[in-house]
Amino acid sequence: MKSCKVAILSVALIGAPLVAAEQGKGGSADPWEGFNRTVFEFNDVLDRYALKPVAQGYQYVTPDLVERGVSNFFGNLGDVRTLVNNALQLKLHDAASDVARVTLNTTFGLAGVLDLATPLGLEKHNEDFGQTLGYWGVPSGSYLVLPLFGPSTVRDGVALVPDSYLDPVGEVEDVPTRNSLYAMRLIDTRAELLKSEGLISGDRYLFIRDAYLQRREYQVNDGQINAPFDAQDF
Amino acid sequence: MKKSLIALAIAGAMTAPIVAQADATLYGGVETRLKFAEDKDADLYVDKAEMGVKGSSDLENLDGVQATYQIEFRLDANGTGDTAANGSNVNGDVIMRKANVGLVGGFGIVQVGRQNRLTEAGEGYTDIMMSAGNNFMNNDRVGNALTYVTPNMAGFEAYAQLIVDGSGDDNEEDVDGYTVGFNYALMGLDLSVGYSELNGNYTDGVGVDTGADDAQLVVVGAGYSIGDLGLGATYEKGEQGSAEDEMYALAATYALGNTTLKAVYGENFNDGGGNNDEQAYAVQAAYKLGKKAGVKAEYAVLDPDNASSTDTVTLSYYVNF
Repeated sequence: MKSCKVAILSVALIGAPLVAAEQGKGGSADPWEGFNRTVFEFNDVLDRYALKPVAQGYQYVTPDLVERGVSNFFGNLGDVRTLVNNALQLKLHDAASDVARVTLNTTFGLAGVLDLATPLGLEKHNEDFGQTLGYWGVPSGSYLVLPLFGPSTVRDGVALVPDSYLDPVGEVEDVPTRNSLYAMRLIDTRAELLKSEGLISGDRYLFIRDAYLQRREYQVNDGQINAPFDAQDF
Repeated sequence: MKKSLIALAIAGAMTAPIVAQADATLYGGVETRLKFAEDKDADLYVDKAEMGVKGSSDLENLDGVQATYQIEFRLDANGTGDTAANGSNVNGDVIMRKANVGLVGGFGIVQVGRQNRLTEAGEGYTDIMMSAGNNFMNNDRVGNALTYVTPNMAGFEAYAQLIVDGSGDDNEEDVDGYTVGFNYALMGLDLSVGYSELNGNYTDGVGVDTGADDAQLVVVGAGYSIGDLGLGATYEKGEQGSAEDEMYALAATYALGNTTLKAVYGENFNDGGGNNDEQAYAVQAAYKLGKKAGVKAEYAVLDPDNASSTDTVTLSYYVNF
């Protein structure tokens, strides 16, 4: 699965500039809009007819408590990635807090099903290798919609590869178990997104692109966005 | 919650004209652990079941002096000798930890009886783990002891402890041992230095007759804290006849609100009884659930370079009162 991910990624990366060369009408952040829209359509159809109905069904039949447990379980696995990326960004206090989170939730939290760390004051962080690159000054590059993976940028797309090595699910030896975990996580992630989907208005593609880019900028800067005004404005 | 026994004292003394104001505190704790050791069955056990009573009362006839008392014991909750049909009765040894009386005043502290062996202060800087404490040489408590501790003078205090058993090697018209040392605290830096000498036949508190030769022990410990980070070090050297043991341990702690992360590395060298040097390290995350209760998770590796190396993961839940 890991190699499959990498393959998809490289195809996307090599293919993208070729297509983009002819397009380039989407402004500075999105020169490959034509290609991106095509992939977006593909992803959207896949989502509309396969993933979303499954996620809705899952949310319908699963008790909230179980759903929460599943989310917590994958959240705990994701904390491993956050931990390493916090360390790579030299945010040692946050990394220490993530160590404490993973330790508590993995042991007393029954393999992560219970999130005991948050009520104890160990806040959940969200860091990935794309943010690490951004922290060290790597620009995000053009907006890029990846087949199956969805909205990304050149930087964040490349960063999926190192992050995949920090995914404990990838370490599961038994292939059916591993794939079940991947599928379960996908459904869980999609179900989580159902509630925010109602916010989308206007051009779906543009809305998601802008929301994604803004959110990434916010995440890379840990919420410290340069305000568009300074002392001279007053 | 510390339960004052005043209420009890009052209830019992209702008929007496003067109510005894002996403010005694009942305290203790129970800790359970679940241990997973390499190549061993999982083990769920009661690590500690302790309780005690301590307190002080003003001495009306000695102005400015208080009398103190303390009784503390541990129950063996895991004994298997005498399991009754209903499973409620294990052999339940009672282990006496402390039983002492004292005087506290402007002159310092005088304490008599079974109590802490004060050289243990040097170990406190690194003795912060559930496992991996095997290399420490100081026995935490001694019986038959008379202790004097000076008042605290700008962070400095010194102590002397005489151990007077009158048994064992009982023909030399001297005492069985002594402990001297000091503790010093200044601007985040703590230092503890202690020296102890015990008659080899003295068993009370040490537990076993360690041989005819006198046993000497040096314990030096230091700690430093900067913000949330704490550092600690301990060095010990024990000698008895031709046997010589040395150990050191380094510790680091990092506080995150209710959580503390800890790491300890230790090494010991044994020159007398065969060459069995040993390393040990452990990492731990401790979480306070409240003032009196918490959980801990620890990973410890003992003797990583030898075939006898063991890894253990220990989970603990404790409640104190």
